[in-house]
Amino acid sequence: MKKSVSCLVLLLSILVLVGCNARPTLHIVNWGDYMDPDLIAQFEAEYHCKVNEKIATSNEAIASVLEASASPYDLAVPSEYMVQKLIDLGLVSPIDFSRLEHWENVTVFPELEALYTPMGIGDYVVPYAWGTIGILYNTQNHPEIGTLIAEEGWGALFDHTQQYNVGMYDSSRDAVAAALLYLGYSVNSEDVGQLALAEQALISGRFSWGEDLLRTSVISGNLDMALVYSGDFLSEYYLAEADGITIGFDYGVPEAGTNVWMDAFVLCSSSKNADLAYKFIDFFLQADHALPNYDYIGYAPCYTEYFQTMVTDYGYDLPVFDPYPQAAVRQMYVYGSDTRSQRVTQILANAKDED
Amino acid sequence: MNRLRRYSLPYLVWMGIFILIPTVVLLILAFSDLSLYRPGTFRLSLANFAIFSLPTTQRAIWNSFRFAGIAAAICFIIGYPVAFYLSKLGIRVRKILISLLIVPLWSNMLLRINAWEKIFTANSIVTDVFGLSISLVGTDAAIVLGMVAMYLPFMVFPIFSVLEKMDPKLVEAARDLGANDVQTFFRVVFPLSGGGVISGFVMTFLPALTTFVLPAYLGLGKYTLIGTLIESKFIKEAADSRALSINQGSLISLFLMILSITAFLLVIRVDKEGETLI
Amino acid sequence: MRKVLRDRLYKGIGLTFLAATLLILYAPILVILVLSVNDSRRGYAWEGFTLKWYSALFTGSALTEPILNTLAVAFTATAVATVLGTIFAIGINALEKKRRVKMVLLNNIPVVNPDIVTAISLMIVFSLLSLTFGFGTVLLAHIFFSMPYVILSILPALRKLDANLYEAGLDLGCSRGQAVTKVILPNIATGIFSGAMMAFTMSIDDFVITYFTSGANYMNVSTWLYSKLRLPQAFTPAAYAYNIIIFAVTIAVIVSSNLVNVRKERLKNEKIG
Repeated sequence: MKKSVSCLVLLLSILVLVGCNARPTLHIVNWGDYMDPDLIAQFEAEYHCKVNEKIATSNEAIASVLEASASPYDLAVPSEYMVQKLIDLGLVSPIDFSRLEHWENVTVFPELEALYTPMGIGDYVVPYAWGTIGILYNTQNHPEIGTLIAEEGWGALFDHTQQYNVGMYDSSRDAVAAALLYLGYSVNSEDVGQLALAEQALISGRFSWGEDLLRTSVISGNLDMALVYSGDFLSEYYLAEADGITIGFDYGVPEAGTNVWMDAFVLCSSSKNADLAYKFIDFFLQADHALPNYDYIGYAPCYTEYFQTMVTDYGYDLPVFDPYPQAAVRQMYVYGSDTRSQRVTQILANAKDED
Repeated sequence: MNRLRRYSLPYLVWMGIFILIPTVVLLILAFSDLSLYRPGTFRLSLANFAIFSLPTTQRAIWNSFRFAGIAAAICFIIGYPVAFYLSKLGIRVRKILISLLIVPLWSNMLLRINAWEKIFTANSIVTDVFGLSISLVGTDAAIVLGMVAMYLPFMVFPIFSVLEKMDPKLVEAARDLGANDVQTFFRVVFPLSGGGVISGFVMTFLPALTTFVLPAYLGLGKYTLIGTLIESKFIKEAADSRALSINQGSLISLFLMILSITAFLLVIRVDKEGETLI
Repeated sequence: MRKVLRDRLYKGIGLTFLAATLLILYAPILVILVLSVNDSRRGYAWEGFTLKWYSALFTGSALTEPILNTLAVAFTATAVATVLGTIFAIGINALEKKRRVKMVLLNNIPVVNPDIVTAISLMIVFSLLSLTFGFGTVLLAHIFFSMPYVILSILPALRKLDANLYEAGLDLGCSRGQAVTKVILPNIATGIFSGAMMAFTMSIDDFVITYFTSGANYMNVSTWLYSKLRLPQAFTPAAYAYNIIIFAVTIAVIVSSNLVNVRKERLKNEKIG
């Protein structure tokens, strides 16, 4: 009996040791499939550390994770409007750009910078990737949806839910923005009447709701079209191309304009490894790592140099790869008032209900 | 023997920490505007109850009860005959069949739900390999069937364990007294297995009522259930303490706690020592 | 004659429902098996047979860490819950009836409580104690929710045990510890074993409680799946292979334990005969 007890104790201590980790750990809150794991492994080897990625599916979830004080995070990659809120909540610290060696070598798209600088987040962010929201549709079953988007714009998504199976992104900002765009209002509208109309549009359409589920559903033909992020389409497109699978889907951005979003590195105020965090950001600013990483994620780089290389050397020549072509109409989200945020959450809840 | 009693004391402390403390905190959160992550001063209020007046919440509660109720009923209709049949078999066969019912539970639940999603999808790998094309994803039926598939064994086990222990002499006695099969079953066997049936209902209904993975995968996100609501209050929307998400989530959790205590009282009326729970 | 027909009818109904149950339980596993040998990362369609996901499992993949995490917590939690659960069960069994019933009631609360309520309760306790969420909190949570099952399966064995045996052991010169280890434990070994099996089953397949108590540092197979199942690049079908291997091991364990039982019975019969 004594023997078995001591064996047990031994086993326990081994397991506990396995669970522990002596190396410093960098904690990141990130979106899924948003950084090349091979490059992360390379970073871990170079700096003798461990990188821990927590996957979130929405900006609201990223903020929730950071707010839950129980976990010390170092970095996060939220979108621009949520950065405003995170600053407000005191969850992020300003970036000391002098600690980023490779910051000098890159140029943020001026039109992008012009959008986010007035939001007051410039000192807190190192831009990572940007893109649009648009309509992913199945071309095998319904090639005509392309024409529909060209002719009716956002109406393609909202006016044909009886005829097609349509998916809507389960994220309050994006769903409400699509409805506001469809109605011809600003994506940041605080107008009670306009929001009520947007709510009506979302309620009267018969939508399926999902996050990453939407693209899989459209590609497999279970949905005919869905509101997605540009990168949802791009990553699936280039993955299918690499695997030599027939591509039976396409992505359309209505002529009337859309939202343009930017995801950026922010430094969490709870960070205990700021030094390592800077090195991590810098690692992904360096061309050797940035380029293969952008190739992995399929989203457009926020830096003109890398963007050009992706188009010329990596074959990212699809027109929709460019989030902000000349003369296009683009709006960026701002956090706005808390009342609006709550109202937008409520709209989504009500819309998902009406079945 | 009495000296061994003190061994139970630490357990009382342990359970106190993990059951009593959170219940008190949930109560405070539910009836105030206290912020869990930034605790400070707070005011007691009933404002969180507003969540129950929202159509979303009402619908989530209604849908959860409807789906879990139907699923538990289907589990009962399938599970009772199975448990009955198993209890009549020889010990060897019975053991093997019970193991066969347990083995699938070792497969990851998320993967099993994912597999059902593929089975219920008209155009999937299941269509390629088995020639099956069922289009159910995103419907009530998909969610209910998914619940049945996940929780059915938990209806069979408690009923079986009661039937197994039932004295066969009772059935013989009923026969001797002139009862036919149907009478014997409904007057003797079924009432005596009541404890197992109640445990079975609790063990299938409660998990079905509170799942949040199943509706997300099999319901195409069209259905908000109670579990979905709690997940989003605690995980997805918890950032803004002014929105009181966690407080509202706590209130809903408290509501679930009351439900499970009710279920618990039901179970202990028929089975004090919890023998039908495993 | 009528009785034979009727028996056959009952048997037929029983068999049909049993077959339906097995179909419902095994259909998804068949699908997982197909996905585990499908030569496609995404599993949208059948792309041909391969065993590469099985080899990926052993040569190291994104899944290695979650699998090790899952096993580490499952084994540790099972060991701790079994040892502590046995001690507590012996203590509870020694209480007088009224108190014993009360303790059993308390013990059963987490068994009946839905996972999500237990998960949120634990999350709140851990937040209040300002523990860093990770391996430690998950381990604590798993010990907490699996121990009641251990106690629940040991108690019946203890009740069958003659209370005087322990006293007899003491009278015969055992120390108190010896009386427990030499007299009580051997008699409840089956209960302890099945309790440990329950604890292990609960822990290895847990999703909800780990999801709410794991924070930044820890991912088990279930939480890994929940965040990666929909991602085209981060997901790997090695997860299906892992599941099939676990399934095969379970089947092997059950078959062999049945065989051992059969052999034991046969030996017993021979001795008697």
